[in-house]
Amino acid sequence: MNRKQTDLAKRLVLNLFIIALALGMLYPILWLLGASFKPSNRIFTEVSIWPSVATLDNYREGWRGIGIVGFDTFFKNSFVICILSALANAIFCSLTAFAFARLKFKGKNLWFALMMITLMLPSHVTTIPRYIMFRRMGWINTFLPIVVPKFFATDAFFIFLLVQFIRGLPRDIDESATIDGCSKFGIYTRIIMPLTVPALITTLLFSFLWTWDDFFNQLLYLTSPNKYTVPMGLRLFLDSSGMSSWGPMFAMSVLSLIPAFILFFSLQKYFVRGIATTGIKG
Amino acid sequence: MQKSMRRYAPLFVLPALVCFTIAFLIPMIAGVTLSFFKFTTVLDGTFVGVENYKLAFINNEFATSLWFNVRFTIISVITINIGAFTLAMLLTRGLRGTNTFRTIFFMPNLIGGIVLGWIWQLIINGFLLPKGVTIVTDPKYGFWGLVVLMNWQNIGYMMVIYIAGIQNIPTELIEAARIDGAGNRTMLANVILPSIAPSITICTFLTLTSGFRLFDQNLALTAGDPGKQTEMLALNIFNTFYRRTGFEGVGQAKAVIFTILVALIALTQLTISRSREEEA
Repeated sequence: MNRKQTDLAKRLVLNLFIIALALGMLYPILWLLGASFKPSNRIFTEVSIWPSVATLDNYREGWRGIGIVGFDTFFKNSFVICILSALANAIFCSLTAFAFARLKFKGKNLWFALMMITLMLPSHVTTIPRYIMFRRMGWINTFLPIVVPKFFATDAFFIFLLVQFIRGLPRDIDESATIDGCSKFGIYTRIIMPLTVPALITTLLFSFLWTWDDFFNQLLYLTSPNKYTVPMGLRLFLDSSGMSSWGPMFAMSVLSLIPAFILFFSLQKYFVRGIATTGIKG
Repeated sequence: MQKSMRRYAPLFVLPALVCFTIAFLIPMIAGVTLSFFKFTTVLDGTFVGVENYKLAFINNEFATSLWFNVRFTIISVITINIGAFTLAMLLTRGLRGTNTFRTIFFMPNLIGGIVLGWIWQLIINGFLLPKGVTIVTDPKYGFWGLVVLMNWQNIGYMMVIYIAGIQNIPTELIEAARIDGAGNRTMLANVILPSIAPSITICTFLTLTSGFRLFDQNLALTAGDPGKQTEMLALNIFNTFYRRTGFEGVGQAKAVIFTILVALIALTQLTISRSREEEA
């Protein structure tokens, strides 16, 4: 009886502890939501999450955008870049992963090691040469420098993820398919690709999200406001004309979270599985 | 059969290799080469030898940001991993609402670094308001602000990896240890931690490299203020390249130093933890 009570007390403390932590985690998100409804001048002074005066002005003003460019343009640009990037990553990283996981070719280990190195090294050292290269090609202020590399399977993380996944599939299937006269490409399109669908969804999800949240590359290559993406559009609220409009910026930030949250909540298991795959020794 | 395999291999591999070379190897080599040039325009330059490397260290700026970044990364790696592991342990005990909590802890990871930085800037400023200071008054605030932000963003992601690791431990192993009379502490030190060594490796690796790469959050939270004292490496390199004409080569030299540094750290870390995993 006594033991049962201490057990119960322990569980209660544990539960309260987790709830407190969860509230701490949620606080900034709720704060953002609250701030987006506060009049700009109150954002700095009001500590409470709940706005004492709620207004939709921030949303109205934010959606109008900056100058002649409305915020819908930024959303449209972000969607174009993200969807293209996600599709390209899914198709080309999976082809490359298939080669690494199933085909034999000269120097496979060396190439695999090189690919893994790109995962490790910071991209900063290649940033400037890439910038110069794309500038020579006249690609500055277009989506090309952001999207085209994805068609070349340059995202080692996804190749690695898919290689791990394909290695986990039994080889017997493709061996028997080969005996039945299936070509290598057939094995890929008819067997491996359908079986890797979960990993492909993970790839699509993460490429979309990471491109959506990325700021650095977009800042580098996009120069005119009508090409700007959501994060860049948000930044415009802060440094245009010195008069920072934090309210509209936070309102548009809230909107910018919606696609990410929808994807996450509807496809949660693919997120978890994808992250877990990278954490298991291959 | 073997033959057809070899015949088709180039079909898959060649495009990837060609592209890999164009998209990574060439810029990499070009990147190192450029660090020995002084740019006259963005597209043209003259060879200056190691001049850029000397200029990188001519004032304390780069060294300061290097040191700031190292301290930041060490502290973040430790706090994130301990935090994430603790959460993972708490959330694998079959408590009610486990899934909801996992979701909540992961959510911050969905928010882009730039928005995160602004939210935290205002929240921290709100808390500092009574003291009459802001986050950029003292580099100390910026430092801890960045640590908090980094923890808040990454703990949930690492937690998912640790949960997968913990769930992969065979239950027989845990039961056997229990029967042998292992207490909670022994269980943790001799059963759980050794079994999740691969997860520890990958999480340390991920947090370590992202600590050194941090850019968006740094820009949005403090933008390096006060007086560049909270400017981390990526931001320092970016500012050297884009904000100072004639210093593009210096920016590139810094990037090369930075890359070598991160490569060394990452390799050391991987070697150490892999050898530990094998011992275990």
